[in-house]
Amino acid sequence: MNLYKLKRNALIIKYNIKLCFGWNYVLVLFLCVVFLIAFNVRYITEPELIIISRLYFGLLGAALFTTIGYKERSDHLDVFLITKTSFYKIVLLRFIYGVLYTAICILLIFGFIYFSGGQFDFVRCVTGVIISIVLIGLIGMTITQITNDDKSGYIVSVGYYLLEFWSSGAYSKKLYLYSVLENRESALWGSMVLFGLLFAFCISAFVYRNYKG
Amino acid sequence: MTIKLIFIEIRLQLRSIAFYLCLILSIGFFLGQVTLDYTIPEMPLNKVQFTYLKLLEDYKDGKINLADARQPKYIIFLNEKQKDKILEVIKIMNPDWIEEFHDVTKITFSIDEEMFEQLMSKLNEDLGSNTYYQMYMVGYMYDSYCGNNFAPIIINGFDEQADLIVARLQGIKGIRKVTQYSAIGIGRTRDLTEDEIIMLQDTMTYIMKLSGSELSEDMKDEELIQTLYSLDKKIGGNTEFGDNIFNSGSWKLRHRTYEEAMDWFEEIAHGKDKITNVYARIVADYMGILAGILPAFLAAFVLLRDKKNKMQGIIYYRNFSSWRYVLSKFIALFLLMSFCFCIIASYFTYYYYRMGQLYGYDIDLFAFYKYTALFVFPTIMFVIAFCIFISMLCQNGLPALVLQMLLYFLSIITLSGDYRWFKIVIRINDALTHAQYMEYRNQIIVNRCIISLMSIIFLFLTIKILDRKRSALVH
Repeated sequence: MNLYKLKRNALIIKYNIKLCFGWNYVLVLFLCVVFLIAFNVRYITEPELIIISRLYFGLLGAALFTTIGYKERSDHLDVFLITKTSFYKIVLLRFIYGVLYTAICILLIFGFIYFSGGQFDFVRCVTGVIISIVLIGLIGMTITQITNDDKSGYIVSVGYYLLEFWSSGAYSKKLYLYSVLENRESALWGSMVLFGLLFAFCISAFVYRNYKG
Repeated sequence: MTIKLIFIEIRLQLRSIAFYLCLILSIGFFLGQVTLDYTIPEMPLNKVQFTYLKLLEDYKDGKINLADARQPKYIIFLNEKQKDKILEVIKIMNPDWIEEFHDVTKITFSIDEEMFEQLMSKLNEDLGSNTYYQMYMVGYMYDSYCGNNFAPIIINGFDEQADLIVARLQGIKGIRKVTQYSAIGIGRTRDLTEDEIIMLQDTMTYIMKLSGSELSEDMKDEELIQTLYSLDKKIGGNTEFGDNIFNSGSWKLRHRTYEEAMDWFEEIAHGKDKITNVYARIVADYMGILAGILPAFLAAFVLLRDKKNKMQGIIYYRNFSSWRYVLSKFIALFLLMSFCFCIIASYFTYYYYRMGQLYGYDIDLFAFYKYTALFVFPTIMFVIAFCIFISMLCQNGLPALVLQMLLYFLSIITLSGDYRWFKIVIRINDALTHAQYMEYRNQIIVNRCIISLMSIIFLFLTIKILDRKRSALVH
């Protein structure tokens, strides 16, 4: 194999492994710990858990996913965007890693709550929270790619999270962010469609940028 | 030089899409959350006026609810005969009735209370019985209207307070559940054990004995508080009769009677504060909700922009002090955000100026600017300074955003009455009279001073950190 290619790939891998321990992931861990300290989760019931999940977990998505396609630009490594490196594959891998990381954190938190006497539908709540976190993050990621500005991604994703939190789906109706968590009718398909659309749009943006570069 | 830097920073922010997104978010928030109907006080209605409005509504819609029912299947549609019965009652109450609706507060009703009760009883029978025109239902609905529309009042006197507390404890005993609250106010309800129910009963008995005793009012108050705190501890703590929540005031409130509500309305609309000061506080509350978070998105990345554009080397070697650099960015952001909120204040001033001319209210043209400056400006200062400091410390904007959001949620949870030193947002979500506001005014001023001082401290620390970084780079 070409030695130059090997070295370049090794550098890319090294850089991405470093990113896996970056501020985004550290802060998500920090927020998870704060959640367990701030809220009294022993013997919690499902309605109470839904209220505090809606209040709290949306932030994790904005923190984790918004800049995963923007790292090279913010770290002055723009050269990656004009080489033959498959940029969208790297971002896809980061996204998958982010989803796995989120899933592990949420599973640990909800497992702790469940074994502390919590009374709730474990599978539905965990799925609902993960979907809402990933959706908010995807919105932030898409906006960051379109505007080429990470601040805009944070603003839109946090704004959307606050809107859904305050309005409880009054504006988004079937596409309500927490519809799976709150077990609303016809909600799952709406969330998944939105999920799929945003994801497809995001990947398209990456592929286009890669092609343009 | 500093002024030049400020203008450069303002120009850069005006070119950034993030600033316009913040503006769009603010406009969306105000359009969605702040409805202008809410910002004009409505004259309270007495029982007769309230019931008259209900009759007009039912006559127009052609349907009524049966008593005790909220489900749609308990709505009955009126036939012509039943509608005529309702119209007959309307005309007896108001002989000058005409088809078009007019202001119910300006109608002089031609019936007294005894006649009103007889009319309602007869109407209830004519409509088939079990409608909400039975007198006890009219009373119940009017009570709900009072509770929802008349601002609550603080109870004076031990006996009235004791009656309210015993009624609350009775209610808790009846449903056999108690709510315990976390430090940030989220409640969790659980069932009461048999022993806890006995403790509740003993407490109620003791409070009723206290009410009839010959101790002084102060001693009774003290004894009542200690009894409730002791009950709170025995039940597991953090309940609504523990020292955190009991002192927040909800135990000391009841809704106003019609006469008290009329006095309150006169005080709000034509009192010392004038209507503008009252509603300026509410609008400043909404502005504070935005001011607690929006500047964070701009401030968290303002110092890192130079790093991102690889300008650090050039800037750090230049011959101007760190305080000029940091202060110019701080002032630029502060001026921009303050200007946006002043525009909102100007809009509401104009709105109330028009309302004043229409309805004859006295208005204070500077009220909205006054409360924007007092409530909102220190919040903006703190948010900008805090985010700049954290982003300089961590060399990343995300920790600043996350920490600011945590502080923000801690501050906005309570709707009003809590102005401790760490509350970065002042919340006054009620139309408070001048006297009510004066009870909190000193706490608010102290809070604003502490928040402003903390923002200066954070700025100072940021400058120190930047100095160190520059000297490390230069050497």
